[in-house]
Amino acid sequence: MSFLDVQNTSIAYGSNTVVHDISIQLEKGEVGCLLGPSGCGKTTLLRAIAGFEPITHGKISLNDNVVSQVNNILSPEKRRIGMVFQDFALFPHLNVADNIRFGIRHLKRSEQKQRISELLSLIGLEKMRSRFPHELSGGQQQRVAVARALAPKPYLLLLDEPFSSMDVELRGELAREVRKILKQEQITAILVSHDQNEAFAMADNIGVMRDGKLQQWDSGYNLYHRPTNPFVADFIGHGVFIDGVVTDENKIKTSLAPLEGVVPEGCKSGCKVKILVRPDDILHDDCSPRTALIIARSFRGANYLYTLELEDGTQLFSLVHSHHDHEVGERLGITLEIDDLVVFPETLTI
Amino acid sequence: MLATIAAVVAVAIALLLSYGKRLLKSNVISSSVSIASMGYAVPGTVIAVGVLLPFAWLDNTIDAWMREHFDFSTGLLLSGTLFALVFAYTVRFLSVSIQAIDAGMGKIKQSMDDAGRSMGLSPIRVLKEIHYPLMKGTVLTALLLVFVDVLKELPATLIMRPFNFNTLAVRAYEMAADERLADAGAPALMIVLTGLLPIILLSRAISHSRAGEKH
Repeated sequence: MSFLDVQNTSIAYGSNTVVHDISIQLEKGEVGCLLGPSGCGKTTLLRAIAGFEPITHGKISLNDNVVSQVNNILSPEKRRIGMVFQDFALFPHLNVADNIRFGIRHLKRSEQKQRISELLSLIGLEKMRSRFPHELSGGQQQRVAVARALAPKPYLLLLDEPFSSMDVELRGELAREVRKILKQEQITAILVSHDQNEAFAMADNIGVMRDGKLQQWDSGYNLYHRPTNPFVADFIGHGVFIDGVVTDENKIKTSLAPLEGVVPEGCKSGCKVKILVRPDDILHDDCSPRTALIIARSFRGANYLYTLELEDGTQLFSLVHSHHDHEVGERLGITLEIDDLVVFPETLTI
Repeated sequence: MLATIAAVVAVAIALLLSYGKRLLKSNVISSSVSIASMGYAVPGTVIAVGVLLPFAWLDNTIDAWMREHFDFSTGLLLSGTLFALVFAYTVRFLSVSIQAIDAGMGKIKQSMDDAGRSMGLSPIRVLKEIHYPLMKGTVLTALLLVFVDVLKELPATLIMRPFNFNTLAVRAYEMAADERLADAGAPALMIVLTGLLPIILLSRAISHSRAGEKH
C-alpha cells in the first residue's frame, strides 16, 4: 500500500458535492501537487487529508492506518501531519524560535533546542531566532512556517497555496528552496496550487483538478506532453487546438500541414479530430514556403510570442527568439516540429 | 467582590460559547448564543423575578423530597443566596462579555486554530494556548465591562440580595430614599471611583494594543 492512499474519496457540503471520487497515491518522500483553477475542490481535498473535513465516500490512509472513513474521522491533532497555510498563520505573540518550538514542547529541553537549531540552519535563519513574525519578510515568514510544521517530524506535510502571497520571482526561488528542504528531510508532502510553474518546480506528481474531479495524475512532463483530455491540454501551458481530418491510418490533414501521429482509438479515415499545437511546436524559418500572417505579438524578453493566422482563419501561437523582430501584418515563415502529437476526437470539448 | 465573581463567570461562559460557535459552526449553538445575549435587553427586575421563580421551585422540590425521604428540611437552598444573585447578574450581563469576546475571537484567523490542531493540540488546548494569549486584552476588557455593570446594578440586587447584604448601589439607593443625601454620597462616589479606574486601565490597554498592531 502506498504511504498516502486516497481511495475513491468524495466530499460534500450538504447536497453539494465538491470533491468527486478522487484516488491518488504518494510514496514516502514524494511531493505531490493538486493543481487547478480556484473553486475546483483542491483545498477541500487537502483539508480532508488533514482531517479538518469529513468525507462522504471512500477512505484515506496514511502510513498503513486508515485516518478518514465515512463517519469515522481521526482528528487532525492525532494524525501527525504538518500544515503550512496561505497566510502562514505564525503565532504573532511568539518569536521565531518559540514558533518552531510550539509543536515539540513535550520533548526534553535539550532535544527542543537541538531540533530548533537544526531547523533554523535548514531554513537559513539562524540569526533571526529571537525576531517576531512581523519583523520578517514574507519569504522569511514562509520558511519559518515550514520549519514550524516540520519540527514534530510529521508523516505528511500539507502546503495550502504557500507561495500565492509572494511576488512571482520570489515564488520560483522559494518553491525550489522548499523542495530542497523536503527532499533533504525525506518528507512526503502535498501542495495545493493554481500556479503550474509552482507545481512544476515543487512536485514529482501533479493532479489536475476541475469541478471536484481529478483530470489527470501524472508527472509535469506527461501533463504537458501527453495530456489525457482537452482540459488538461488547455490548462497546462499555452496552446491552441486546430481542426484536422484523419485521412489514413495515423495521417491527419490540417490547414497547417499534413501531420502524422497516433490517432485516438476508434477514429477511422474521415474522422474529425482536434490537434494540440503549442507555441514551441511552431518554429520560425525565413526560408520556409509555409507562411502565416502576424496578427499580434508580445515581447517576453528572450522571446516574442506571435499570434499567427492561417488562410482559413485558424489562429496559432509561436514562440520566436526575440532577435527575429517582425511587425504585425508581415508574413512569417514557419515550420512545424511536433514530437508527440496530441490528438483528441472532435467530440471531446474542454 | 461580588462584581468580580460575576465578571469572571460571565466571561468564562462567553469564552466557551464563543469558541463553541467557532468550533462547531452549528445553528443550535449560534442561536443559543443569541438567546443568551437577550438578557441585556430585559430589565433587571424582570430578570430577578424570572430567576427567583425557578430557583424557588427547585428549592421547594428539593426541600419536599428531603423531608419525604430523610425527614429533614433543607429550607431555601439557592434563592436568596449569593449564588442566585451571581446567576442573575450573569444572565443580565452575559451579552456584554459575549460581544467583547466574539469581536476579539473574530480577529483570530481560522488558520491559527488549524495550525494548532495540526501541531497536536486538542480543541480545548487551542483555546488555552493560542486564543487566550492572543486575546488577553480582550478578556480583560470584557472582565472590566461586566465588573462595572454589576457594580452599578440596582433593581435585581434589591430583589435578590440575601438579608443584611448590601452592595454599593443598594446602599446609595437606601440613603437617597431616606433623603440622607450626604450619607448617600460616599457609596455613590465609591461607585464612580471604582467605575473610573477600569476605564482608565481600559483606555491604556486599548492604546497599548493599537500600538502593538501597527508594527
